[in-house]
Amino acid sequence: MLHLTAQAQPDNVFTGEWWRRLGEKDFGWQILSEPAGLFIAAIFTLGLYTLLYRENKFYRIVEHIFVGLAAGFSVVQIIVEVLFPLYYRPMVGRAPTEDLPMIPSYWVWAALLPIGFLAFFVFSTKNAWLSRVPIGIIIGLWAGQQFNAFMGRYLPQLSSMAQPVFPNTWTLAEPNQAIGTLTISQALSNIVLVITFLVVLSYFLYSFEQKSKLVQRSAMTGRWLLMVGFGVIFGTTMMTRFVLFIDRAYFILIDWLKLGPPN
Amino acid sequence: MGSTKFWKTLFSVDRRVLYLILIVLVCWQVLKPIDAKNIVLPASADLYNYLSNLKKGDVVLIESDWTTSTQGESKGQFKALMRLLMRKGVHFVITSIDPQAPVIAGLVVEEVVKEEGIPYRQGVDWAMGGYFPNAENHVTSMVNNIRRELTPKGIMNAPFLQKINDLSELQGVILVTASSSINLWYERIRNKAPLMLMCTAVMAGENFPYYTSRQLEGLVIGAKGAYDFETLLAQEFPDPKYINFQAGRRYMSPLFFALMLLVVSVVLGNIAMIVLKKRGEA
Repeated sequence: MLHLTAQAQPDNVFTGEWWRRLGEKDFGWQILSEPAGLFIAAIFTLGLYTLLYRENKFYRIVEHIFVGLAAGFSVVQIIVEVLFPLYYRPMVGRAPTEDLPMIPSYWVWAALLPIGFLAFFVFSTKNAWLSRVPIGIIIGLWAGQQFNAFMGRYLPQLSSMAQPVFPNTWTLAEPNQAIGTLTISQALSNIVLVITFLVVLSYFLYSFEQKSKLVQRSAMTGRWLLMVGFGVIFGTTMMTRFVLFIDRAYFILIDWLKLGPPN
Repeated sequence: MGSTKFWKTLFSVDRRVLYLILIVLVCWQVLKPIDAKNIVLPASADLYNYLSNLKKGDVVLIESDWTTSTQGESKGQFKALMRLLMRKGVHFVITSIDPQAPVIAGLVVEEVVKEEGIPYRQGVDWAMGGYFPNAENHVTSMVNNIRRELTPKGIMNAPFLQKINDLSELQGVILVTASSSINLWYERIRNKAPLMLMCTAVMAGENFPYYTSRQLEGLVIGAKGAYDFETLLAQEFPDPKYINFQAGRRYMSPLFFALMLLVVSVVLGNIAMIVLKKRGEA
């Protein structure tokens, strides 16, 4: 079903009645009736899959329509969801009404606009240096967060590598084990985890020549384990791609052609 | 062991023949799926159990970053998640770092409300925060000052959000995503709330280490994860009035046959290559 439904908005970017109604919850653009929408969506889906046979003009047309729709939709979303509520409304403020409270205006935000527009000087050969001002601000904001970001993401990973490897109970597994109990299966699992961590790490020791046989064999084992990991990623990638196709097949056969029950 | 021509044919099967076999297998299984007992993965069970133990009136944040390009996996996960939260009476706020995602999420919530028959009202029981640009700064702002981040979207007046001043007052952050947006939460959440992930299968390998290190409370992976969630829903809500199974179960059988085709093709292709190499033909 091809339709666009507006989200609930407390206020809107335009003042006309049409745009105000866009902000109401139950208002939407029902561009097409449901059967017609389904038909067009199904034909377009089949059009995209004609690429499997070979490149053709129908595929190109459908592809361009999808890209255009996505781009146009994103522009509207950016205006309605970002530029208006996060920039324009806080900048100009709002007088209080019966339903909505007053929002004080912060006109200093207007200074951000010319700074943002400096980015377009990237197209000027003479004044291209000006585009570095907004880019510098963005890079500075990002770089300043990276130390904390690294700590937050990787330190728990490192600490989780410190695992006990000696079992303290001689059972293979316990269904409801007490805290602090380490069964044989868990100990084995931890040993595999720690050894994998160390041998894979040894593969990345590029700072010196790997002359020791022990390091060479460890690095080789690490390389093989990395290959296993890449195999897993390949397998799961295929799963995702297959499910995309299954979803489309379901749409064509069940939603559109009604050849089977929905669940 | 067979003529060289046979192995050469097997080694260089036209990709369109494989596509045709795949289409036939998938269509057959979509129409006549085979049902099999599901063994729920511990990572899926952890996520489900955590949410299932929430009390009525608790609040969670959902970052929905999926669109139609991955709806085969993500929509099944998202719908199962919505069913659980609505049945438990848990309030939720939806935000996104993808411009298209909030509208899609809103439509799916409305769909689940109709299917469940639970009067879950936007602005009262759940709220739509919508799209936020600049993912890094959005996540940082949500962690540092959630009220300031969400206030311009006009949703903080919702009754269940009026008492929320900090992310730590939420009972969890759940990402339903097909992108690497979860990395920003690993980096910035600072243990303020339990973090949970529903991701596509392709993301499983890179995110499983975060589950083993307990940075993730639970992890739901791809269509199998959706099926796990649906299975757990059916165990907790066995009453026939509930719709528990949808895309997760429905897609398992075609997926199995598609993956079997992949495995058989790779094995046969490699056998043909080895035979031809031995004969000096490859």
